[in-house]
Amino acid sequence: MKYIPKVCIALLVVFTCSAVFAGQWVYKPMSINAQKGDIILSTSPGFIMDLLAILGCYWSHSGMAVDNGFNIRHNTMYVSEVPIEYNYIWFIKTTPKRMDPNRLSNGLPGILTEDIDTTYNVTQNFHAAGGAVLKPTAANEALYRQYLQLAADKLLYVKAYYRVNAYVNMYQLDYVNYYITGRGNHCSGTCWYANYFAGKTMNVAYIPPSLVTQCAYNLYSSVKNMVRDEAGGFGAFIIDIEGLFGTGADEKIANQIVNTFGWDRSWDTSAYWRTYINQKSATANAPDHLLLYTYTNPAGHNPGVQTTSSSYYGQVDPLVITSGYYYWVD
Amino acid sequence: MKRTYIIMGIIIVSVAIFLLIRSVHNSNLDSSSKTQSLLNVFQFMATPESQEEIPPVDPEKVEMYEIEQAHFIKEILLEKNPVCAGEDFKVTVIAKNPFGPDAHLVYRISNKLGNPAILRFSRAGVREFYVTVRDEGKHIDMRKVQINVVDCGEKPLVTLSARLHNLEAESAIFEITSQKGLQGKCTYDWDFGDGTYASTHTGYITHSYASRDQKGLQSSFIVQVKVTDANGISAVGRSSISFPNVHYLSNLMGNPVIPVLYNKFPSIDGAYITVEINMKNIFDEPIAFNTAVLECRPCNTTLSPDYKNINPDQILESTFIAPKSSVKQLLKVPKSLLPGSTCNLTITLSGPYPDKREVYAKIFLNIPPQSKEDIDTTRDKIITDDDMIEKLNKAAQILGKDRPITPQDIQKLEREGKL
Repeated sequence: MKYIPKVCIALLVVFTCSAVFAGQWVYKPMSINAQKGDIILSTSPGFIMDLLAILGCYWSHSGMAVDNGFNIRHNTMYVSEVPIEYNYIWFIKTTPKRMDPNRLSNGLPGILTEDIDTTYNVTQNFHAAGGAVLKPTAANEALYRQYLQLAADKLLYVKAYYRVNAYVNMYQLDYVNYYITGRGNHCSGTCWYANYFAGKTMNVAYIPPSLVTQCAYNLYSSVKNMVRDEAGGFGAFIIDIEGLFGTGADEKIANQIVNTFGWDRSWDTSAYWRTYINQKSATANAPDHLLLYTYTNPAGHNPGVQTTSSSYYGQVDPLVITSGYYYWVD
Repeated sequence: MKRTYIIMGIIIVSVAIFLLIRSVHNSNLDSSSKTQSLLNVFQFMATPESQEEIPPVDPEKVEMYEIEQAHFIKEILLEKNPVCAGEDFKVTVIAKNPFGPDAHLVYRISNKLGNPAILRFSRAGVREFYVTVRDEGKHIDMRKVQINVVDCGEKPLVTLSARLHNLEAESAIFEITSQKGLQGKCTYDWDFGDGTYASTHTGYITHSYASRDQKGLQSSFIVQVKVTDANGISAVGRSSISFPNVHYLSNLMGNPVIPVLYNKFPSIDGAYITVEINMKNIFDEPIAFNTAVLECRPCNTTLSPDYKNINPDQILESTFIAPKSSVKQLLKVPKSLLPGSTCNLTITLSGPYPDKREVYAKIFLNIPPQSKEDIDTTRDKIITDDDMIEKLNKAAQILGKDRPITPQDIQKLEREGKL
């Protein structure tokens, strides 16, 4: 008789536990076919895509896998979140003046780590279609992986702004883990630096003034069209500007962005760039320039951008996302 | 005397703070930057030193390659000029590559990748845009184009947007963002530009271009939707979409990978994991796979994968694919080959290819966990939200409880009003 209460309690515990664990829904997060140190290329739309359009790139964004397929660290800015500065008459806010120069020059969030579900599904900084993974060749995998893992570790440490001006001067990232105004990089420049911090100096593109001039006009035209047609990666605030400014807002915004691109003059909405653009050369890589071409094409040209000695990345694989899914377990 | 020291100390500290603030002030011409710069200073003061010093880049020691101006663009054809505001028009670029195959040119027309491209300007005036053409890396050509956009008054107008899919590789999302001059319930007839068609009752659809031919670095498609309203009035909207041909590119980089179409969730029974696969040889050489590597990733992602080399005959009926052709067959993996608690199976097929290379086909399969022990406590998320549990239970009733449910399944059922 004395065991009855204990047996009852034991039965109660077993019953309760079995009720709790009768079954549950579990979400298995997405992952990609990348290993730590691989570079992920993407064709995400928006403002950054249009910056890269000037170099004719079809990949507009890049980042680095910081583990085996679950997280990507990359550098980006959300142009739609750049605040607008307004003109004031006696403390009364009147017309929009320009985009916040500091936020345009020193873009946020800058370098960040996102899991695959977030970056492909929520923020959509990366897109699956057209995606690619840059990795070492199978023959070099065993040797190079350790260096790429080191590059990923270096990138995990570094923190910095997204810099529109890095398209003209890429050499502006420091090995520090705090933001420094006026220092940072763009997406592919950040991947380049991760390799540099790990001891590998990849080749860099030099763009002569004649081409930079064309790039600037191209960028100006692209931004102007985006503002005028209420399209592209700009937020509704640009449309507000257009509505309040009337004609001319598109030119001011386009000028401000081209001035930032060429000279980091993010406060300047004048046509300053038109006077000085012919003297400006650029030293910068775009995502497409991280590719390695080791072949001689049928016309006898070697289009090599990176070479086997300048890069650990010798192979490109199509991106594969293993779908995130809910499953039931009894 | 003591008081003098204290006063001197206060003065020195004040001067130091003043100089610090002033240096920050001078480094930023814009007022809004000051707060951030001060924040930087305090962040700097609060942040521990980096563990090692890495010297800044010495540009002199970096190997450079020059991007050069080329003359690829021969002609730019505008479908119409002038064009109505809001109306789409096709732009086609005729280009020639003196440095290699024409198929290795990459096109960008205004903010659209690909050639031809569909553009649209919503405001009237003389509008301009740029066409950019580049080769594999070192050469680029740009041309400015002007078009006269005019107001044409009211007429039925459909605006179709096209974008690459964020979650599905090789797929695109098409959506009608506005339609004017059409009333009532509409029907939508889609032409995806790849020889396939569809009809829907909504202005939203996704389409896979995975089975496209990959003959160059880029594949472009013109997509068209005809919208017909309840009164029989119709309007057509067009857009363009372009895909980087990564498989084609993989061959240029020396490690060819062929496209494989399959469902990432295979059928699983007591003995086999089975999935239908369609392997497409997009290259000019025949392919004969002679090796298969199974990479079995444990459900617990902190554990290392298990690798097995097997003969591809063990899992495939046919391991040969003729040039420019496809082979559709069942891939059957005996469960006995996999360790228990495997949640991801990656199968890499490889075979010899000219110039001492290897050609690959890669298949990634999800194997949902079967028991509580297989829950990856470091990554998997147990659903505790009652609304979500209710949705999942309903979805399981519709789709079957034994199959995994993806967020896309939930979205689709929600869009159909079934959840």
